Amino acid sequence: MTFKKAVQAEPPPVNGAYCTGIRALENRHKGLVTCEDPRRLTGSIYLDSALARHPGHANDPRWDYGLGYRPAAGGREQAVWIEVHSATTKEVSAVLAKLQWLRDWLEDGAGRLKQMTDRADPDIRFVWIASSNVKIPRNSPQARRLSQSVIQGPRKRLSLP
Amino acid sequence: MIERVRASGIGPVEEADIRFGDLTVFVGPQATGKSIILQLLKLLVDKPAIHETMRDFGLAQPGYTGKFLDLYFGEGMESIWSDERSRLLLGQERKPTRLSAYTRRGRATGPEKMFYIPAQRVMSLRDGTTRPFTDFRAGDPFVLRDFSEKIHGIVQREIGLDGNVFPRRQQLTEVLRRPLEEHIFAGFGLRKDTSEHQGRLVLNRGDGRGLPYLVWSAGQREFVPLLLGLYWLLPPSKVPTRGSLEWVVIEELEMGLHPNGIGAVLNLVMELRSRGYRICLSTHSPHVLDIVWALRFFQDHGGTPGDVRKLLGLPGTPKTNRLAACALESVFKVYYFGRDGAVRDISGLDPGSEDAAEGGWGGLTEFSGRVGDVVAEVAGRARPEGT
Repeated sequence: MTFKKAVQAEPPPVNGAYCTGIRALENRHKGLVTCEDPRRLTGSIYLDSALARHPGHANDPRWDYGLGYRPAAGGREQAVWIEVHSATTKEVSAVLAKLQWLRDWLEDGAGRLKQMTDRADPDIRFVWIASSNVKIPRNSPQARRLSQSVIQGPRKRLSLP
Repeated sequence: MIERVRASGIGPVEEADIRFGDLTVFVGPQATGKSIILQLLKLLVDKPAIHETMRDFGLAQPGYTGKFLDLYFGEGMESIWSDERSRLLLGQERKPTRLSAYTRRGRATGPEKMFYIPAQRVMSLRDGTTRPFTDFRAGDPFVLRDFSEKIHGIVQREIGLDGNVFPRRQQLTEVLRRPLEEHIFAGFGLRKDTSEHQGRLVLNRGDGRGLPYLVWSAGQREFVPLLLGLYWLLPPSKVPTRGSLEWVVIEELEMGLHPNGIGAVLNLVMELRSRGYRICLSTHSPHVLDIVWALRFFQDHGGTPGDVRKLLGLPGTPKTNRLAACALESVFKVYYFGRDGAVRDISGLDPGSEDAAEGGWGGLTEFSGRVGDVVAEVAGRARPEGT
């Protein structure tokens, strides 16, 4: 199963949201994701935008993007999820709520994408990319809340091999 | 073995229900009763040994509770207990314990079960010379005098003339010793110097000249009595513990130390735990709670001894694997002593807890969180937050 087919197998409107490469990312976010071989980035979806008018999800804390990625070491395609969000202590709860929403969404109806997500290395599975400088002190309770979640980051960018 | 203490109206403590784990940590602002409860625990555990020590050193033991409290807790502490206000229940008992049963000598005898390393331990050295029990005034806290006497005994009797104190043969394995060398002693050794006809501790440079006490760093002055106390607890023989000791109390182990030094000392605490001691700590350091939080997280999420070794910065040896496995099996409890007199169980250490005491780890991480919030506010004024 490829990322493209997994996305297109989802119910509308997600099935029409597939884009090649990282074209689904807003222009201002495209520089935040790099890959040594861009051909390994097999596609992308702007999940937040796709579900913005969906009656079941319009008011949910939606996650930003999903990426298809074929690992450098070989193996099957994986799904990688990134959230571009300001990295301050006050936003930690909001990002954790988005993560919970994403995991529920994957669990409840996006079985193929969930399988591809489970294949991804935990270091890149759910990544928070800071939209500006990181302002979360490492000793703060908010930093510890993040440590005990599965989110990686906040980072300045996602660099894939 | 005392598993639980319920206390009310004792010093600043209005209400406490403390269930001791294998490692119990007390946190909270100054003068909220942490030390009082720990010293009280010592009295409850070690009544016969305490009275015997007082008798051996010729302390006149007063017949009524108030005067004994002055003698035991220290001058001016008589007021922490009043028969009208104060109440103490042990274990599951419904009937309050009479404190007078512990403050009067009685006939019971028994070996000491708790080793107490007090916060004032720096006072147990004067110019690098250890101080015996009788070197203190009668109104000085018993736990300080008793601790000082013990490390005096180690230096005078167990370490020979001009003997090396640190590093010391057969005392602490290399994996535990090396972080102390690196982070606390900075390559110096510690030895007993008798050249001035008085056995004093000096730091030892490579050229053989000793650095006297007054040029040590504050952290080294704080740490050396703690190290000697740990020597007392970790005998070099194959016996894991000393004598009949079961409990260890260490107050503010972080005093004067850089976080790397605190980490090195926490490895020793885990070594004490793996030898079977039950440990109580009081601390103002988030570093201690970081370790407890991580270990509890490992317990709930399938952490391995390898994860524990990584956390503590220890290489893989049979000894460190045992230490790590023991840490994973230990029961950790954390109590917050509030300014309002309430003592709360915050063992969950959940950083997202709605209870500010638990989420902010008894105030130890609250400050960093607030710093982050204020920075976020300023950043938000400059540019809208969120996506």
